[in-house]
Amino acid sequence: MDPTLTPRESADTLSRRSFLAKGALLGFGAPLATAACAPEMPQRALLNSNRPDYPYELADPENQLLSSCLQCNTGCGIKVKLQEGVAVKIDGNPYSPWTLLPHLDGTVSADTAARVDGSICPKGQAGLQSCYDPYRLRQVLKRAGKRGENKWISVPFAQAVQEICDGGALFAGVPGEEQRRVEGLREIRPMLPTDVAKAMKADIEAYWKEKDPARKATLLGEFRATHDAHLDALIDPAHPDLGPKSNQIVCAWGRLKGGRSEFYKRFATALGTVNAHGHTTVCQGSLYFTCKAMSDQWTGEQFAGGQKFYWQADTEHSEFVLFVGANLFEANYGPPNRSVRLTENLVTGRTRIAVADPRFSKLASKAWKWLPIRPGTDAAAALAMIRWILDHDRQNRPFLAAANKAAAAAIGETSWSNAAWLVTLDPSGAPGEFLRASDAGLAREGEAKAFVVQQGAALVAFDPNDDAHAVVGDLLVDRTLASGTRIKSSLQILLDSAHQHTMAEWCEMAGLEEADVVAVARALADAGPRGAVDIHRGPAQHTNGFYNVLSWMSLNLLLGNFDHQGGMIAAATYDYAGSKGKAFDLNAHPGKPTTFGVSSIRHDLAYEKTSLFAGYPARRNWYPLSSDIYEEIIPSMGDAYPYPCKALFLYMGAPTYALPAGHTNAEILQDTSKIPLFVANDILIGPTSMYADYIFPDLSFLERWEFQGSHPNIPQKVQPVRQPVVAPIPEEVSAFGQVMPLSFEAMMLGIAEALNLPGFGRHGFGAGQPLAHPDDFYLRGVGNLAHGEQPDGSDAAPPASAREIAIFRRARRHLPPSVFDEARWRGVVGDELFPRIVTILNRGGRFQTHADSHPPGDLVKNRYAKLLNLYQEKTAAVIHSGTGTKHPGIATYLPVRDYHGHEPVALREGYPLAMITHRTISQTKSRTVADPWLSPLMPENRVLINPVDARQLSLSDGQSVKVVSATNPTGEHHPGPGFRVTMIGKVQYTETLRPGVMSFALGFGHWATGSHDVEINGEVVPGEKRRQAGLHANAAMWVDPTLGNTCFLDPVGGSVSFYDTFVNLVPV
Amino acid sequence: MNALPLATDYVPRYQVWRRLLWIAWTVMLVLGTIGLVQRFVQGHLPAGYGSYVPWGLWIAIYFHGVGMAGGVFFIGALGYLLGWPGFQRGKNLRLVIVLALSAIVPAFVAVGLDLGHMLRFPSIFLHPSFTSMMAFNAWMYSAFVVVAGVCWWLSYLKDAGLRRPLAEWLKPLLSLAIVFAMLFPSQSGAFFGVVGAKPYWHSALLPVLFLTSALTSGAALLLFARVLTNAAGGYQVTPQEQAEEHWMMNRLRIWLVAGLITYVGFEFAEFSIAFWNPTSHAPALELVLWGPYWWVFWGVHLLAGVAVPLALLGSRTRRYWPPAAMLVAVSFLSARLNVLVPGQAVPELKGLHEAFRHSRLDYIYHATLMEYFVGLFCVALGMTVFVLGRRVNQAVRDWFQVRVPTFGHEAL
Amino acid sequence: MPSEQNRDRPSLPPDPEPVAPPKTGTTMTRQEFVRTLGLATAGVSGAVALVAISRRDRAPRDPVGPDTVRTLPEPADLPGPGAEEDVLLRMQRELRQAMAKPVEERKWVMVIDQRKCVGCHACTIGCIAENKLPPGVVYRPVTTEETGVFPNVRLQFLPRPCMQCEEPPCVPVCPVDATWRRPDGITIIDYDRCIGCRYCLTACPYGARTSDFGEYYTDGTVAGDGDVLAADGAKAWEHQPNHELGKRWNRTGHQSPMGNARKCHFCLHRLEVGELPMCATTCIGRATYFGDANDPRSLVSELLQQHQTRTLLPHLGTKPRVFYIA
Ligand SMILES: Nc1nc2c(c(=O)[nH]1)N[C@H]1C(S)=C(S)[C@@H](COP(=O)(O)OP(=O)(O)OC[C@H]3O[C@@H](n4cnc5c(=O)[nH]c(N)nc54)[C@H](O)[C@@H]3O)O[C@H]1N2
Ligand SMILES: Nc1nc2c(c(=O)[nH]1)N[C@H]1C(S)=C(S)[C@@H](COP(=O)(O)OP(=O)(O)OC[C@H]3O[C@@H](n4cnc5c(=O)[nH]c(N)nc54)[C@H](O)[C@@H]3O)O[C@H]1N2
Ligand code: SF4
Ligand code: SF4
Ligand code: SF4
Ligand code: SF4
Ligand code: SF4
Ligand SMILES: [Mo]
Repeated sequence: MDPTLTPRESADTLSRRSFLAKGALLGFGAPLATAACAPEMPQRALLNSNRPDYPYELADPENQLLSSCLQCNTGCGIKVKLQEGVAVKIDGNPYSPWTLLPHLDGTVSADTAARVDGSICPKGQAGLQSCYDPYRLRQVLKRAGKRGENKWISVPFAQAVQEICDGGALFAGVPGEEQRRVEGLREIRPMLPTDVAKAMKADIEAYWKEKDPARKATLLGEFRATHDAHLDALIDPAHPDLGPKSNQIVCAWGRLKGGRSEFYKRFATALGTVNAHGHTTVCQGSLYFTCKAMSDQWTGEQFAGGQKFYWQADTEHSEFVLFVGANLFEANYGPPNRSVRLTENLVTGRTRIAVADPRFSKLASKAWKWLPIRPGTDAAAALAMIRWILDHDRQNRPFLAAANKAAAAAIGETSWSNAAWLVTLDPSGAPGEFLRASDAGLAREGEAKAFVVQQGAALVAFDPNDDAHAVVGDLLVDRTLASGTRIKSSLQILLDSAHQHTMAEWCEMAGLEEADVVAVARALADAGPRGAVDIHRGPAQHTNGFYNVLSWMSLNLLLGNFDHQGGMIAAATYDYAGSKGKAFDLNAHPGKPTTFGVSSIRHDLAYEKTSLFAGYPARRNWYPLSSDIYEEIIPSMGDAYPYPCKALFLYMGAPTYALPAGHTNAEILQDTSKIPLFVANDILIGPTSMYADYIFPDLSFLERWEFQGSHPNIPQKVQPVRQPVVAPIPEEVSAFGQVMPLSFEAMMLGIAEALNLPGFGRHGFGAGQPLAHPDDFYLRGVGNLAHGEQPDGSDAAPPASAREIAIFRRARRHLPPSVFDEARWRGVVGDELFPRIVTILNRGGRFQTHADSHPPGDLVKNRYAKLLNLYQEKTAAVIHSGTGTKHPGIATYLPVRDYHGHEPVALREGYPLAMITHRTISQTKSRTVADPWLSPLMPENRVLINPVDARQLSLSDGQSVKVVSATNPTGEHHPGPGFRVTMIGKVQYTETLRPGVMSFALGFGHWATGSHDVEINGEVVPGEKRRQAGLHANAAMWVDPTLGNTCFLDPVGGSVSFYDTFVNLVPV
Repeated sequence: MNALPLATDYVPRYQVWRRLLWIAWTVMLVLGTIGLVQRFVQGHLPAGYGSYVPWGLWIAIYFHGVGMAGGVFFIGALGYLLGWPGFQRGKNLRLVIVLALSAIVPAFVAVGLDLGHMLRFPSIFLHPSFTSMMAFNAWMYSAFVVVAGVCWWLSYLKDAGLRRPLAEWLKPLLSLAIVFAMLFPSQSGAFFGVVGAKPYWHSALLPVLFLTSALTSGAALLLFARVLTNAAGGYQVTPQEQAEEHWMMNRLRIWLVAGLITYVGFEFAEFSIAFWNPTSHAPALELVLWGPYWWVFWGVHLLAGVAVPLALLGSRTRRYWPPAAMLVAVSFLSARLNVLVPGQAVPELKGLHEAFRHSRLDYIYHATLMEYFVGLFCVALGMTVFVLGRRVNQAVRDWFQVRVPTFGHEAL
Repeated sequence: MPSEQNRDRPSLPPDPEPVAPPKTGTTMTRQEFVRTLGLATAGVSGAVALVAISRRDRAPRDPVGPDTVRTLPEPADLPGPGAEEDVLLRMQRELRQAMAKPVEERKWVMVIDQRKCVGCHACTIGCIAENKLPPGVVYRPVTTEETGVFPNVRLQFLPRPCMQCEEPPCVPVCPVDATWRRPDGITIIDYDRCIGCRYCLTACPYGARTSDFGEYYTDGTVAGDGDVLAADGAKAWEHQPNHELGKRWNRTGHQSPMGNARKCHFCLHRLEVGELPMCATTCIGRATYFGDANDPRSLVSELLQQHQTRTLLPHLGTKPRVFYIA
């Protein structure tokens, strides 16, 4: 018996079910450890009756595990409370800044924290129902009918792995597929010798870099000659830059978090494919990729290294915030952490807010002003405010004038912008590259002083990254150099863009009252760096998303609020992946194959550079400025552009449900000639995994490991850890001789073992460093957190006390050895680190203290502290592959356009309502419908319209209508053979919608996810009807007529368009 | 004058009535049993009442049943005490007691089935709280049943001329039972009246309405029962008795008419108070008058329960009276429902039913098939109790006749 | 139908009125009359006495006095008063202090700031999860009220726990004394005594009592012990006992609280161990305050002093102990 266990606990061990023995513990911490003096709770303490008392064991630390929620992507810290080994209650983890403000310091003992619950949203509390969903899969399913027909058989794990690797006539029993031979992974990926691959990769990069067409052709010929012996390993020797055949394996995902992300990418790389693509663009791609473009740094040669991230307001300290298309109280990242940082300030008057949204959201209900903006016109509204601020000289002049790091430091700023930098205009007057100091004769080429500002009459060259010599520039410059080159400052370009229309015109376009717009602009200017424009999906998910985001972000630049308390802040996380010199290096990948070639979604690469270039428009769009183009993954396979694919892996994604016009993806997935092998990893039969050839069951977020990361509204540096808290639902399998629950990792380990992939198995991380069990991976990650970021371990987590180790152990008594085995865990991290990871895991992650995040002064602790691009030279150089014209490099207003650049005027005709969509607090996408607790809050969503429109269309409240659009005039889609879903919902009158706009909440109208009957092993598994309620109108969202199989999209930021479709409502 | 034509004055085709009633009984018993089985197997799941409308058809049946029992007893026992023709004989009183019992037993069953924990019903007797009108009610009804039972026995003794000292308690006890009988309906009114949460119930007129409806439906039931029992063979007696019968019938008919008119009058008063002085109780009224169940008020209550019976009773044609009485006895259930349900169907807090959606958290109540079936069971049960009660009456009479020769024919 | 009437008329009996009412048995003897009076008086006064006795304030059936004192030690590692802390921690500390007093000296109140309520329903679900409430049973719904016309719209959220009325109309109507107001002001139901008559449901003007009709949230999902699907194996959470009133309640097999009226009890079982009611704990807008109004320094006392609070349906005289700041 463990000496640190209290007598009470030992008694408990002996008779787990003897509730008297559990005699409640009343005290915090200390009394727990000395239970002998803890007062026994008198019997009949509350209710004087014969029924035995039932001490509240959920308050004991040994019945709690701290982890991280994934009911939505906010990832709040959670405290899962277990009763007899079953998760029964989920509350907030008090150590997590998401759920308590301020959160508990890590020094607070686990005993104390056990009695403090943080706050989380209703979905988070219902999370245990996602885990305990009766429709969860326990065994691998193999398709036994046509794709989408929902007929399955269960197969042993090993058989599934073998069939996927070896291929064959796998579906001979399915009508129509008797003759179909499926290529197995082994066959799809003939691996190139490493040196050959490396050489090819270098040659291809050189080819891409070459701008001269003639030279390019030559390089291509040379390539073929050099690599003649290996050309058959390439997809298309005529286009060697498409890369090796292994690129025909696509690894896609929806919601993928830290840890699993490295695991999956390791797997993809080991398979030899460059195609590892996520879902960012369905989410808010253009928000990420605009900010990526804004955060590109000058390397001395080019602008590069922009972060795929964004900023949000530090609302805890803001004076004024304009929220734009941000649904803080129902969605965003996310309600618990953001609400608690706002509501108190709102009632004390410390913070005032305005909301720009076509919909009067719950957030708007607390706002001083609501701007009911017309969908898709965000840039117009932003430019109106920019215009007002610049016209009234209310911008943050010192901040904008600072042209380099030293200048920023001189005025107490950490970041600086290129507002004062001079830009050259081409003869047509379009802004192009920055004026180079060398061109202006102020420096030699290659010198650090690369750029130029104007100071009065003088032109001054400077180095943007110079932290010694401060350079400031004039803000508004428009002149012609002696050389005849016309130059403008970045800010001048912005001003010109804002001056394209008058205030009245901008407001008219945005459908807003000028007085309101001015009032908000003034409030922002008044708040200065303690003001912020906090934006989210609303402006981003449009064909003009990139420029909407850029316009609003430019407003933030005018305020100069970056890194300011109350201004725009960025997320900060503790590193778990490690590197050489840290405790563990999760990226260590012995024998890592070199991957190269055009990605299947054509990202990170300009069309003109490739051998596929054939004038404009291209067959499909190219995305040099963005990645993870969800709406391209499957439709590109449908078009076999840039090349046909052979195998698709999909992890935790539901593009058929999530994407606008997602039904287009369903059609392609049903075609085995376009996607010959489709393997999904899912916890149940989902809206996209329903088309898979094999579904590997996964562990839910309550059973698995992940590093959740952070969001820009969390001012602290953090790393929440998701860890197994309930015993796994899926069956146990083995790979590399290890027993583990069937999971995403088991699937990858199984395949890795069968294919002998490098970077997995007994020496996966290096000699004697195995990657054979999920623990090998994740515990190393936790070990890195525990060890800290200093190589010397000076910021290591303290080792846990004996008491905490005892709690740690007992709190896991319900977990099987395949999940928790103390000896194995100790073995992975070593005895020195083990007590330290206990500290981390007993706190659900690592979190900086609240006091540390906001040091005295105006600035936050965790800073961006870099260049901010108001004008984007790199963007301005990119050619739109659909139109052949260059993208603007500055905030500007663009109308809604299809891929070929045409306004979809014809599509709107006869469809009077602009359709948008939004989240409701109770549902997350395709996932939370499994949770019955949430249903009563909103059993079905409605077709929300203003009564004015309803009367115009003669629709009554509660009437059932079908949502139709020009690209889906029947209002139907067909998820499978003989399976039809009609988008019918009930009209709800509401004054909360701008007239002319219709909206529906996300998360309803399901056709998979346990909602319909399926057949497994010849037996009908009845679906739960409740899950079908309401409508999901994504299939009414426009299909881009120039592409035919995907939705409208933002050619720059990659975003899909969620808010540009016009629909009609047809009574049924 | 021949006795038979007399009976046929009221039910010219008694055999048809009889057969119809037996068929109805059989059908109701079969359906009722189905309902009952469902209730026992599935509990309350198949029921339509919920938490925002906690009481439905069964509680209406309960109040209707006890109301009628009170009404029947009040009229019958008072008539006996005061020696009204057609009421004054021991056998008249015993029929009244059996009739009251056959109204009250199904009422108890209905409320018992409505309980979430039926088997804890005895608690009302073991740990009553008399601040609750429900406990008070239960005790009173039980006391009533006991007293009525004692009266029933004493009436035999009295008629047989046995145990005189004991038999002399009959009238005092009867008087007490009459007080009870009168208290019930007004009590039932108070049952709802104390519920301040429901403005529609919280009305001074409610006890009066309950009393009126009890007396009216009681009179109706009595009329109907007497016609049937007489037609079944109670008439072959003296012309004096026949005359008394007619007198009694006419009296019941007049009271019935008066009761109906009074009820509608009070109802109108109640409604107009709400309309001229719109309080929160107007919404409930709107529901009654124009809500989804408007037809219950206009069709079942006013037309079938008041207008048609009034027209029929207005006629001097006697054979119109029994159907009229039956209509009143049955359709006054709708009056109960119309007090019960709308009173609950109006939320005090706006939007509560939308805040958390569940079929039992709604202000719309639809009785389910199971509830209707159990309702039918209650009616069948009432009929059964009545028929059995009469058998017992006869058996006891026969027993007395054997023992006490003086136990005369008249005393039947 | 004149023809019918004509046919009927001859058979009409002579007017019954002339028949003289029989003389026998109509009058009461003096003795009978006295007995009648006696019985009636006894009956009525008995009834009145019963009611009067039950109306009288009974000695509390709940434990009071020193037995109810809970010593919940102050954890040394929390920030403590004066430091920057989440209001949840402050309220929890004040709660521990209140628990150190005998139950009759605590006056639990809730203050809900509607200006801070974001309508997230976390409290609703938190309560359901904490108390393992079945479908159709809810202790704290949050209503949404939309008013105004575009663009001048207003949304207001109203969380509605039990008001813990000082004059709870739900209590006296209970026929079996299964529900009562405790010395700390919380009205509870002993599910083992409740017969499930639902009278109290009708009596509560706030709709704060709901009945447990025996449903399960997993009704209607795939059943069986499944190898391939989780099925019944995943439903254990719904069959765990709950901790209401510090007792062990498991509904399985139509056990109480199935079949009973149920209501909010201010999470007495959590107060007992020094934790706030679940709805206050999980309120992401920090709109729900809870504490002892007898402690003048408590946060709730401060709020009640600083703000013009309102109660719901004050005209009914129920005197709620849940106060709203609007
Ligand atoms: N409950 C819940 N929470 C979630 C999620 C969930 O599924 N459910 N998902 C998580 C994820 S993945 C994400 S990305 C976030 C999303 O978080 P948010 O972006 O904050 O949430 P949405 O509801 O998508 O917000 C879009 C808002 O934009 C408005 N809008 C629509 N069109 C326009 C427009 O043209 N201009 C402007 N200005 N506004 C417009 C909509 O009315 C809506 O209020 O939420 C996260 N949190
Ligand atoms: N109408 C409308 N549509 C929208 C939006 C909107 O606002 N309105 N928002 C969009 C946004 S922001 C986003 S981010 C996308 C998200 O869209 P996706 O990234 O495609 O993801 P999810 O809908 O979260 O669903 C993922 C699928 O993964 C499976 N799954 C669930 N849990 C697990 C698990 O634990 N493991 C594994 N392996 N699989 C699991 C289920 O089948 C589920 O259907 O949706 C978009 N769709
Ligand atoms: S906001 Fe998202 S992550 Fe946080 S508790 Fe709710 S569902 Fe979970
Ligand atoms: S339902 Fe229970 S608590 Fe309510 S009145 Fe009836 S017996 Fe009492
Ligand atoms: S709110 Fe309702 S249930 Fe609560 S004490 Fe008051 S009357 Fe009783
Ligand atoms: S106090 Fe407890 S029981 Fe009452 S509503 Fe809040 S969480 Fe539910
Ligand atoms: S948890 Fe708080 S903010 Fe959310 S609905 Fe309840 S009271 Fe309002
Ligand atoms: Mo997203």
